[in-house]
Parts: sequence; C-alpha cells; structure tokens
Amino acid sequence: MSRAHTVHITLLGIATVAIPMALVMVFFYAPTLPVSNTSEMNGVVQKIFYFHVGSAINMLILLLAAGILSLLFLVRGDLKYDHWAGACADTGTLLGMMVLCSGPLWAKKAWGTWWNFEPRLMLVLLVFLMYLGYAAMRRFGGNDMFTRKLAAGISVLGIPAIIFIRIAVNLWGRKLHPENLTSDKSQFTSSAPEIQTVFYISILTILVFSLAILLLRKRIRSAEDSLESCWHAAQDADIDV
Amino acid sequence: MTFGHQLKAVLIKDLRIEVRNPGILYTMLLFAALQVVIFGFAFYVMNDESNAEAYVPGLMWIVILFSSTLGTGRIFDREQQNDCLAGLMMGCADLRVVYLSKVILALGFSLAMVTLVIPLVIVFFDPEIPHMGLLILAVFLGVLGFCFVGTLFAGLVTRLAFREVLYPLIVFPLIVPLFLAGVEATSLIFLSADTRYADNALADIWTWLRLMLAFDLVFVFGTSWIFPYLMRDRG
Repeated sequence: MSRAHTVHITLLGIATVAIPMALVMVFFYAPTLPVSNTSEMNGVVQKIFYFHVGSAINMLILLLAAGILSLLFLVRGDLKYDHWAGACADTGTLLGMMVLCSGPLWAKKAWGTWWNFEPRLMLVLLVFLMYLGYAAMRRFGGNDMFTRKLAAGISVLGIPAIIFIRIAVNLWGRKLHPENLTSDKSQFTSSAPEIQTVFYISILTILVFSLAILLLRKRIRSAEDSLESCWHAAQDADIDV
Repeated sequence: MTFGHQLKAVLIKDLRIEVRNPGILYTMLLFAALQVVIFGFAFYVMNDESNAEAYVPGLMWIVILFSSTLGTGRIFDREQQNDCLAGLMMGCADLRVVYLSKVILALGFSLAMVTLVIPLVIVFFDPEIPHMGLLILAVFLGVLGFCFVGTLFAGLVTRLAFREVLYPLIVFPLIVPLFLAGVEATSLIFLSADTRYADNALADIWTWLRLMLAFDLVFVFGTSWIFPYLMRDRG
C-alpha cells in the first residue's frame, strides 16, 4: 500500500466518523436561530446554514487552489500540478453543486423566493458554470498537452472571479444575503458560543470529506495518465495490445 | 429486414455512440443553463419581479431554440468521419431509417434539455403556472417540430462550407412560426394566473396549441417524405 493510499483511507475514515457527529451537533447542540437576518421567526431550516456556508467556504478554497495549481502547471509544465489542479476543480465543482442546491432550499423558506439576482448568487453560479465548462473541456476536449493548458488557462482566469465572490457582498451593500461572518459580528457569531463551535466543526468536517474526494480524484487522474503513457510506450515498441 | 428492424439497428448504433461520448448532450445542457442565467440577468429589473410573466415566456423559448440548434446542428457530425453517412445510406434500403433514427436522438437530447430548462426557469423567476400540463404540451410540440426540421437541415448542410452559421440561418426562419405560437401559448398560460383573464384564457391557449399541432403534422410528414429526395444527390 502506498502512502497516498494510507492517507486517503485515513481521511475517509475520519470523514465517516465526523459527518454523523457534525449532524448530531448541528441538530441537538446548536440552538435554533431565526431563519434569516430579516426574519423574526425561528426555524429548523436555518440549520442548513452549517452545510451551505461550510460548502461555500471549502468550494472557494478548492477553486482558488485549482487556479494557483493551474498557474504552477503553466509555469513549470509538470503534469503533477495538472493532476492536482484538475482534482481540486472537480471537487470544488461538486461542493458548488451542494451550495447551489442548499441555497435555494433555504432561500425559499427564509426570503419566500427560490432565487434572487443579487451579485453574490450570480457570481457563485457563474463560477460554478465556468468550472462545468472546464470539466467539459477536460472530458471532451481530448487529452493532449494543448487542451490541458487551455483548461489551466480557464482556471487561472477564474481566480479574480473567486476572490470577487468574497468581497462582492461588502461592495454592493447587503440586500438579502447574511453579511460576511468574519467582517461583522453578526447574529451568528455573537448570540451564542455554541454556534461558533458547531460552525467551525462543520467547516472542518466538509473540508476533510472534500480532501478525501480530492485525493481519490487525483489518484484516478494520475492512474489514467500512467495507463495512457504505458499504452503509447507499448505502441512505440510494437507490442500488440 | 423490415423498416422497424432497420430503425432499431441504426438507433442502437446511434445511442451506443452517444453513451460512449456524451459530448453533445453535456454541452447542450450546459449551454442551456448558461443562457437562462445570462438572459435572466439581462432582463431582470432589480426589486421588481412583478413583470416576470412579461419576459419569461420569450426567454424560455429563446433558450430552447438556441440550445436545440446547438445540439441538433451537430447530430450528423458523427457520420462525417470516414464518410460514414454514405455507407449508412447505402446500407439502409430506406433512407428514412437514417433520418428517423437521428430525429429520435435529437428529440431525446432536446427533451433532456427541456427537463433542465423548465425547472431552472421556475427556480430563477418563480412564475405562477396554473396549467403546468399545457405548458409541457406546448414545449413538447415546439421541440418535436424543431427536431424534425432541424435534423433534416443538419443532414443537408454537412458538406457545406460555413455550415455552422448557415444552419441557423436556414432553420430559424422556418421554425419561427411554430415557436411564436409557443410563446403566445406560454404567455397566455402565465397570464391565466390572473383571475381577470382566467375564464377566456383556456380557449385561447388551445387555439395556439392547435396551431402548433398543425405545424407539427406538416413538419413531421413533410420532412420525412422529402428527406430521401434531398439526400440522394448529396454526392
């Protein structure tokens, strides 16, 4: 067993234990809050916040990592960076799907509408669609060096958009979205210390879970490339495969 | 080999290729989602959702039109390599087999796209839809007509230069009457959420749906009949 395999199994093990634990803490330890910052009504739907924001933060981290790794790939030309960047982008897209599914579910209860065309929502959606395009490029665009560099280019150009999501809410003023948790002492951080604890635990849980998926994806990408180079080597050596 | 046997064989071949490389379907769905977002952002007036019913029908049909064009336009591309289309046409006793197989494939793609677009429109714009069944019928009739006309011309333009731009130029004018009827029917469906119009709306909706049905009948039988004549001398 390789070291990557051991790390991968360990991460999966931690995630398997941590996810039920986080769920229990979210539903039984943290107090229930108003469904949104514009509402007085308490509601269990507010609990989706722990997964929605947790996925969103991890999505931004992973997509940012994908952008930086793509830049490294473009500069250094080492395929190792390409594998990591691709894995980060795929896992980030998966988390983006979680954000975009949990968001409207919460919004329908809290704001009375599924979707609102405010800048942050739009940017998250556009970045998500951009990375779906990235995935399409990698899946259907061929496997040569040119396509990889093109995909890396998309990913690098996505970095400003990802950073912009983080500052968009402050820039445009608040409409419906709860304010940034770190820049403001909002209701979520000030009202009860349990909420902060559970919030950070849920972020960490989702991080561990996505790292397990990330590692799996990276190993698949490396294995695919090894297989292909073996096949080319066999063809060059006139071995019938 | 009867017509049915041939159709089944060709269709299984087409489906197998698409399952192995679902590029057309994937890009079509992604393009549709992207369009809903872009058009939504372009037409949306901040804090005024009361007029959503005014632009959502047009928006929805434009998205369906563009996405179907993207998918259907490339439906014959798989047959370009090694001149597969010529072999296929020689192999089948009836050229309509090749055509109908591609139409069914295009219809499958377009229906998959529509099942994505309608929920997206509902999530983004939250319109009141009193007659969901009629809306689905209208969209189905529109897509059905498009697939027959679109597949016919997709097959014809395969050899032309500039075919990517020529294809919509040929197909859009032909399909516009059908899609306009669809837009009218859809806006009436949305309008009938208002109690003032609810009584008269249903009869009007059916007028447009019957018009669409008539167009579809013409397109289905007309294109199926004319396809062999147009393709035979393709060279």
